[in-house]
Amino acid sequence: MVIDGHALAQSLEDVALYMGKVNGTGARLEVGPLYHESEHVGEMLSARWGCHAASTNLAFLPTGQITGCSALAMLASTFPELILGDVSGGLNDEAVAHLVHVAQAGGEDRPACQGCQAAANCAGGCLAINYSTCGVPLTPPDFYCQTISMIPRVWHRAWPERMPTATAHETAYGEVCTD
Amino acid sequence: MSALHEHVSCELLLTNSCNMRCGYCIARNLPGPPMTREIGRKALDMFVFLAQGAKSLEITFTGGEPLLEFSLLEELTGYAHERAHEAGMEVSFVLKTNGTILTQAIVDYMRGHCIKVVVSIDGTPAAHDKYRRTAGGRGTHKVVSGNLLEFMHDGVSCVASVTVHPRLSRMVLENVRYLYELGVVNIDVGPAYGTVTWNGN
Repeated sequence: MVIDGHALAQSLEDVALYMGKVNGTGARLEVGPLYHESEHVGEMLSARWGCHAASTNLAFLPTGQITGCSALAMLASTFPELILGDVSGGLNDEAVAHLVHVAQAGGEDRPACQGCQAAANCAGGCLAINYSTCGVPLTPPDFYCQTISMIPRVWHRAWPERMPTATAHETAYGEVCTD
Repeated sequence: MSALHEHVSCELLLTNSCNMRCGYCIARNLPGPPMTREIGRKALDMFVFLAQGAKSLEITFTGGEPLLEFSLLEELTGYAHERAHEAGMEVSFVLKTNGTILTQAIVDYMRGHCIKVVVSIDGTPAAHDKYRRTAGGRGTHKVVSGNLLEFMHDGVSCVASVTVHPRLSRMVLENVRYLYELGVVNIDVGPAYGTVTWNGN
């Protein structure tokens, strides 16, 4: 059986090589998540990494309810704790604090990430992906880990001039959920 | 959100309604009427208040399909400009659209207000039309790619947003290459989730 997550990660490497070829001609091709300023390439560009839900981003639903981002808004009927308040009553401080806590949780709160070599520059996954596939905020699905951990390995191929000291490294995954 | 951050952002879901029925959409069953102007204004009031101390704001119009509520988008863009100006902050805008709705007025507005447009397009006609269909089941690639080109040719800053279904996870390069050859130089690739199963775990 072909593993979809591995296939996606392999595709990302193919895209990186293509980007490098295009960008080597003087043209400019940006393909996320292999952004020129990607947050997932180690310490060099790590200033922007992590989930910004409820810390620097909010989403407002048609009803006036508030969530941490638009992706989390899609899940709010299943996970009501994702509703942070509404435009009439204001923000629920407790709900905001909880969301910020899980969005910015460190490795000690993410047992699934312990032992993963990508943990240093992966913030533990996208909350919306974690909730929708694993049912909990702090456990990422395998396909996400396979993809995100590929970024530091292939990014320098897309932007060879940007990372002269890049060192590719193999990744050992921690425990992840099955979706 | 607080003065700790120089740049803060918010997303306004103008409506849950959509004129498409994409096979992997996580938002396809959300009910309810569109955002009212009153709620939109209150949302922006709250956002600007919470953002005090920040230098720049980014406001994203999304949904559902936000261009179903274009007049509301115009109203709230103007209001956001006013509130940001009063608060001494810079403001920028993003529109996330399925790319099926386009008029010259929309193009002119996006260009005139420097609104970045993120168009959902999955790549080649075969890849795109496999999941991105109308309520009647018709593929949308021809319309969406044509509208994306029109935005770009008229000077609107565009990003192509590619959603990868597990069944197409081996075709990402093909779809990226197609979009680049179409003239798109900013492409965002992300996985479908929540409504699909990624095997092999």
